[in-house]
Amino acid sequence: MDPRDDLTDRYLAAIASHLPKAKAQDITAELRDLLLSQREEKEAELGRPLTPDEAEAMIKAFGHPLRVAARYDGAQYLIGPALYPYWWAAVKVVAFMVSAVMVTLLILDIVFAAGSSDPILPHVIGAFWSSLFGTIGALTILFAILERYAPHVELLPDWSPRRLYVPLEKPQTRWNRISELTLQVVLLLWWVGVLRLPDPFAYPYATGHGGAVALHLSETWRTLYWPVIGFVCLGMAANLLALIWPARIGVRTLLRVAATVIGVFVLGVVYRHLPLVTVTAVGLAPKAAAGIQSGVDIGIRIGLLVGGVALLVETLRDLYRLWRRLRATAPADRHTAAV
Amino acid sequence: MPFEEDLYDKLRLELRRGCLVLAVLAELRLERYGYTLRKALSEGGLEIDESTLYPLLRRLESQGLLISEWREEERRNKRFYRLSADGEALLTRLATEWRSLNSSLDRIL
Repeated sequence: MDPRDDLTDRYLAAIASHLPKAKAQDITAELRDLLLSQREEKEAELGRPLTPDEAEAMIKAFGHPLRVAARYDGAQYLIGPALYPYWWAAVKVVAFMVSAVMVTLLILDIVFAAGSSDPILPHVIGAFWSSLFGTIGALTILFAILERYAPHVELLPDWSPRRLYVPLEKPQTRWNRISELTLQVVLLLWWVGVLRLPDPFAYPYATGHGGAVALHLSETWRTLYWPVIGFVCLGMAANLLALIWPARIGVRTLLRVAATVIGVFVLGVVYRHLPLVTVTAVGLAPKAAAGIQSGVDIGIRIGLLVGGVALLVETLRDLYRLWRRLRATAPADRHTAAV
Repeated sequence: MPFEEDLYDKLRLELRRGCLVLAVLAELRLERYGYTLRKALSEGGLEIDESTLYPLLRRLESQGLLISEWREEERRNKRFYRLSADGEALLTRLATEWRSLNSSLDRIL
């Protein structure tokens, strides 16, 4: 056998190995004819047979077998231009959220767990990469499947220019939303016991007057386990919605109102069952101990009142924004109806 | 500037992509096999890589615009392509669109 033919056979066999079996023979037969025709033309031009080196160079110029075979595959990209904007938007939201949660956990670790025998820092770093790439990988696979089997799927609901989100006042920045969401995630994880933070009620505090005080949390909190979870989850849902669909102001406001109702209920229950924290003094005069208890009670009362008022003010502000938005779009609707 | 050259190459490629399909369809009003088709296009002033042409022929055939058959010629089996009835109808429409586009661009340029 002519060694140049052997080279062509090897090349075509390599291409065939990257092609679907059903088509491989047909495609390589056609490519064989092309390569032989090219060689004959070149030999006719030179007036002599090609040397093995020239034959090799000619085949090499045809392209790597993987690339040649890939051209026969209908799909030339993983995610096409129609789906790419949705994929990229989803990746950005996921990257923001994973990064924010992990950075917060790192900060908490640095602040609270210094000197701990089991620092969470290495776990957080490991979890960061696996969460980030795992989530982006899953998103990419999902979009690649859509690209392959449903490339024209409409991922966003029907829209109208009149319903587009236009901030009527200075909107909360994206980072505000993300930091709030991050804190909510951390709070939820701590509340359900997944995240372990130093317990402020676990040890006594020196008072600076030779004595010490220990704080004890009342049992009221135990009855509020589910209301607190509901409050945090509704707040998280509102923030997530604001990040993913900023135009859904109505649903977001409803979630916030529901969260406020639960939040006010929680604060009300706590307020009615004061003292929330009992102070036990060691080595202090009874008068001094009573003074500390009174100070803690006043601080908690003020904190609860301020928290409740802030919650109500924020919800009223959201309702006002919704009302203004509805009012701003109403004339356009009337105009359209008139036309 | 390399950046400008890259951009030029990219835009030129985009410009040529649609034209190549039209040219291939037009050349296959006469029956040809891949190698002679490429030469005919080249003689007409339109160079095209084999690595682009052959997969394109397969794609157009799978879309029903071309029909092909294996036949022996010059002591070798060759795959001959020609326009199908659907391909001819589409070529007529695309050629009309091309002429309209071309005259518009002539006026604009």
